[in-house]
Amino acid sequence: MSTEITPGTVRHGLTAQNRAIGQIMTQISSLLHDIEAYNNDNRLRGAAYTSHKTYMTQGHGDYLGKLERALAAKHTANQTHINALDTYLSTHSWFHSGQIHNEIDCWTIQINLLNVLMIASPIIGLFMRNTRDNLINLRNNRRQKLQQIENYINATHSIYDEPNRLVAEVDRSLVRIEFADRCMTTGAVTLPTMVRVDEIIKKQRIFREVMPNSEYTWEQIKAMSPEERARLFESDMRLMAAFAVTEGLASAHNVDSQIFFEFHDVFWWNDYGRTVDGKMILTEIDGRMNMFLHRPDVNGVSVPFGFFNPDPFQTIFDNGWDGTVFSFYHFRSTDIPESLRDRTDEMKEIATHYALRSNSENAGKAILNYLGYYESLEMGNPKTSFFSSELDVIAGRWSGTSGRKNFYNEIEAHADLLLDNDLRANLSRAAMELRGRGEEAYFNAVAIADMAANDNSIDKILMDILWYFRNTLR
Amino acid sequence: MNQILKDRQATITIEHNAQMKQYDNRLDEFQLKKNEIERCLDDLHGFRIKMKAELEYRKSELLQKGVYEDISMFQEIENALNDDYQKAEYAFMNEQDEIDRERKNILFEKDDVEKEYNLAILALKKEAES
Repeated sequence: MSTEITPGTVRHGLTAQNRAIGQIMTQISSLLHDIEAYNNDNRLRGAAYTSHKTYMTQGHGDYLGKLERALAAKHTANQTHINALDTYLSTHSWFHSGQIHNEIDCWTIQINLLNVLMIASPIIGLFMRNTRDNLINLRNNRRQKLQQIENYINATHSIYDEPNRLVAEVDRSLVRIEFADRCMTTGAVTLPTMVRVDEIIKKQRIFREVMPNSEYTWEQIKAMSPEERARLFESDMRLMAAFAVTEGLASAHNVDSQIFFEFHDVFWWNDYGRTVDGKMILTEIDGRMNMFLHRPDVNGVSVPFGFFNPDPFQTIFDNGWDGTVFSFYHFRSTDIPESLRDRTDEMKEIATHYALRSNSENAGKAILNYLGYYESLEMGNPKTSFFSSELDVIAGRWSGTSGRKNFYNEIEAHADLLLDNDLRANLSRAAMELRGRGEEAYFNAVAIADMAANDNSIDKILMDILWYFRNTLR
Repeated sequence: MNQILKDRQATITIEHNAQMKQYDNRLDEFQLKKNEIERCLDDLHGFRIKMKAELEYRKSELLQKGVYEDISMFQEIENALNDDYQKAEYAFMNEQDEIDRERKNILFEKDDVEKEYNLAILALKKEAES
């Protein structure tokens, strides 16, 4: 059950807060006094004491001093707020602006209804004027009340500017203590510089912006061992992506309210015989992280239905991707390395996911939106939403297919062919014969949905023929 | 009955039917007017009920919050609404009565014309027999 906020509860809350602030300030002044006494205690001498005394003064002393100033400012602001509230209430009744808006809407509906009736009938027009004029007066009265509330809010909203500024200072001071470097042998504590503190605060802010509802904070993840972090990231890819953004390894792009994580390092992978490079992009669709590889040099994108080895997300946080060529494996691969052998079900699940029309359509649409955004960004005029007709053109530029639906279809067809069920088995066999290569080579070719405008290889042509027949025979 | 009499009877019947049609049209018009008034009354009645409910709700909201200063304004609107509604209802009813009166006159007139026609036909039949 929600509690309604009334001037009474606000006043009561502010008064209670000021009482609590008073008590905390007494404790702070006692702590500051203790620190001062510790500093001035000449019996405690030596390099370790001197170093620790400096830390206590510059770290905790600084923090407590700033906290004291911030609380004093908050106390004053609360009192100003209480006085403003009292002054307002002595001349006006209290209404919630939401309630007033609701009333204005309600009376407007009645006035409009009455106007319609008055136009429709001369008798109503002749006799209902008094009611209508009264209703118009009532609505004007409500508008005035709304104005009074807005004036009051405007007059009071800057009260907390100064305390808020001082609280930000307290936060900086606290971060400085939290990220102090402690030497285990000497016990000396080195406080980070304010430049470093600002960097940390910036990272905390970026992480919060990308992951507003995360149960983990950036500093918690930062403090984890690589193994702990890998386990956490495996269970929550979005957390991994947010961490990568915070660490400057990736950028988050908001396109039509969807976040795309673009990793900065070039991603090289070996796709059974050919080495390809591109940018890795992750985006969340219906609570699931989808990966695609963006290859602007060939106007292409690839959607893999499997895993790369070694794990790209462990590698990037260890040494970055430079110099590593990742190998790609799918559930039909015959050479799956030991580390991925117990994950074939997960690999198959990726193909099954994309084999469902709605999933390949959602993923395809997201990819086209990203590509449209990328193109507009390149041209210096970023655009974040696209009409269906625009997506059709984008699909043509990035895959050589005609229209967005064929683009989605291509992703789904690849997954279907990899899963090789029902009539598609016949097509697979036909494909193998045509290619004169083995089954393995065929599955390797279909396990990554490669779409590129300039790709005219025999594989691409064969794939085009295959999904043409597949759709015709459906 | 010779051909001349037959032609006269046909002419009288055509004229009579045309006259009857005119009366029926006028009666239909009155009915439409009455329906329109009924509809307006229904609309106005619906508006009044909804307005009263809304005023009651808003009043109880204000009383609950202890804001009494606007109650008189709400009362004034309710009084105006009752007053206006009663006047409008009365005017509608008057108009309805007026229509009913005119309708009744038309019905009498129609009846007279019908009687005259029957007499004329009867006279023609007698003329033919003689």
